[in-house]
Amino acid sequence: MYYRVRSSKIELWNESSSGGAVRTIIKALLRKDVVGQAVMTSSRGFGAETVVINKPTDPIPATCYAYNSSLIQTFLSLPKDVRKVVVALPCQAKAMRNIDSSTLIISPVCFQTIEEEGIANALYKCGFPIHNFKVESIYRIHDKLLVNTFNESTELSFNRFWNQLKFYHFSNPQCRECRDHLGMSADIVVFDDKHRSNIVLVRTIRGIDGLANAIDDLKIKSDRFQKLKLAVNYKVLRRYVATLLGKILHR
Amino acid sequence: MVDFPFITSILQFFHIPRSPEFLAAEYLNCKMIQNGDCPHIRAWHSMELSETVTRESRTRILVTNMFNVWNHGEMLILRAITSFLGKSDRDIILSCPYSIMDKKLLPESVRYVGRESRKSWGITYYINSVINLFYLLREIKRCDVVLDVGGDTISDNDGIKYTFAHCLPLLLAHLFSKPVIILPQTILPFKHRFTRSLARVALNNSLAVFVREKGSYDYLKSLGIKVDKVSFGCAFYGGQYEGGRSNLIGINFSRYLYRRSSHHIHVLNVLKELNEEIVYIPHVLADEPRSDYTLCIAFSHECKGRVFLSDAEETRNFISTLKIFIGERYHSIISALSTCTPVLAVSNSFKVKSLMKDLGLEEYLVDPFDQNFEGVFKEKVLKILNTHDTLSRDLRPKISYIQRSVCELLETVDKCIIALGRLK
Repeated sequence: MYYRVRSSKIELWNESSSGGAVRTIIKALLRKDVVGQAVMTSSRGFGAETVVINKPTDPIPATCYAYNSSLIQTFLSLPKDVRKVVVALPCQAKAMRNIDSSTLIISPVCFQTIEEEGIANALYKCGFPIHNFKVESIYRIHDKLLVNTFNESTELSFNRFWNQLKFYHFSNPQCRECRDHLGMSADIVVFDDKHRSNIVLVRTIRGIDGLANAIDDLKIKSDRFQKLKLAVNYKVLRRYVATLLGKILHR
Repeated sequence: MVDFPFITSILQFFHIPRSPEFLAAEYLNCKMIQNGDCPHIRAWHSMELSETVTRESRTRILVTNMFNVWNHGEMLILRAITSFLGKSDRDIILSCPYSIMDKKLLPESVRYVGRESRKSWGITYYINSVINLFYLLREIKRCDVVLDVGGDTISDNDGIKYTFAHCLPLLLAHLFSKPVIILPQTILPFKHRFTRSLARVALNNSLAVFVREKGSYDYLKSLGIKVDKVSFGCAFYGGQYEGGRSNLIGINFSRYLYRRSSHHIHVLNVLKELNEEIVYIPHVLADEPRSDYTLCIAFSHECKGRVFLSDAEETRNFISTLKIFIGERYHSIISALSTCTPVLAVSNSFKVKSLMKDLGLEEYLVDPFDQNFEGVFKEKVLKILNTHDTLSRDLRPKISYIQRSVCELLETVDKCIIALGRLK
């Protein structure tokens, strides 16, 4: 089931990539002691690193969509008796679910994984002089891409950067980890609705509980037309129609 | 007040605003409409307003895939849901396009929406099913959560049409982005590729999927279908052992097994030999192709014995007073077990085998297709007659554990409904 949400706190929403739903949920869960720790991925250079958040007052980084190989190792090294919330890609979520069935897993929607060279090339094509600076982190804030270097941060157009990455599918079509490419093992799947808010797909009772705990800090956009549209997976429909047309034309 | 679910569902589906004047003129054939002084329109407007107020404040739980209201098993599940989840701020609505229904048999807190059918065949049944589909559409749009109480029809063991009928309400709920909770069911096997895909879509998009057996859990996992937990069926909820047993032997014959096997002749022969007083206890009372009632009446005329006929709860209370119970239907066995009555199960179905195995009672299960059925049956009846007190005593801790686990399951569902109410 789908919800369209955004953070009701304007300062948090201003710093978010789309609607700030993930950060708001994590903050609320830590504040209400529903979870003791949050494990998530933050941007580091052209890649990613794992961050563990213990208090609601700690700074929470924006959601990073890059694949982070250290996430599962860090998760395993943490004490097992503390309840955790993890932000992980769908394939990582599947592995974590097999390890620990009680953890709340929030998953950003899966994109094709891009190597660090690809990101560097895209930045270069956007006009950022990558050879002159050492990039500390890359974040998206709505329609801007914020490239942080040692002593300054540069703003680029996110749409231009996105076009340079050349995504033709919203998920990796060769990936068979989850059947619907929407994080089958995750409790909550979050993605951008391109209108500065998030679409939240809740997949389990644990997910519903997590979202309900954060409801005071979130604003739900109720739109029944949108709900009906969202429930139909257009990507799948498009693919079937394209296959059908291909078969007819080939004959 | 007259309601027009057929038309309103179509209009709502295509998001066409309803016009009370149009509906009244079209369907009530009201002559006063042109003067603007129509009592029906005034009533309609007031109903719209009151509906809006109620809809916002109350949580609407839609129970679907309940097939036969004369089936005691389904009624026990419904009673468990109403007694645990029924609260003052909630409406429990029952809607299922293909159900066989009599509103009078439902608990007071449940409201049935749709046309009543008394049998599962004939042209009226199919017309009612199509009309009920629009009722269901309307209720899905209005509800906050959908509870699926179907038994084992999601698999295509009995035919592809059962899977399709079972999945239809679930797929419609997903289309309207409504949360679906699948209460404990037996979900295996899928013989056809089509039914497997259909079930995959229906179950993977559900909020929670509970199954009754470990076998179902492993099977669904191997197919990549979402499954959350193995839990005992909700029919175990509420069964109580009062104490004090008569010398009667209760027996339940299933119409399904009667059609496929002649084991009932041996059962009756053995019971005649033992010279025990027997009571026939049907568990499905209506719909001729499925009814145990007509079968039991026929047996009572043929051989000696009375037929006990009452509602689900009364039948369970009666079973609790029996010395032993011989059951063929799954929920008749549950009725006996939940009241700690010693049971001899006569069945070859996967769900009954799993239930008896989970309770450590495999030795009290007889396969009706066994070559030496009469001998095995007689041996086991004698064994159970000799040890019925010990058996009943041994069952008590097991049943109290099962009832606790069922309560935990219903608590989880209750918490989920509370959370969904906050997200409205």
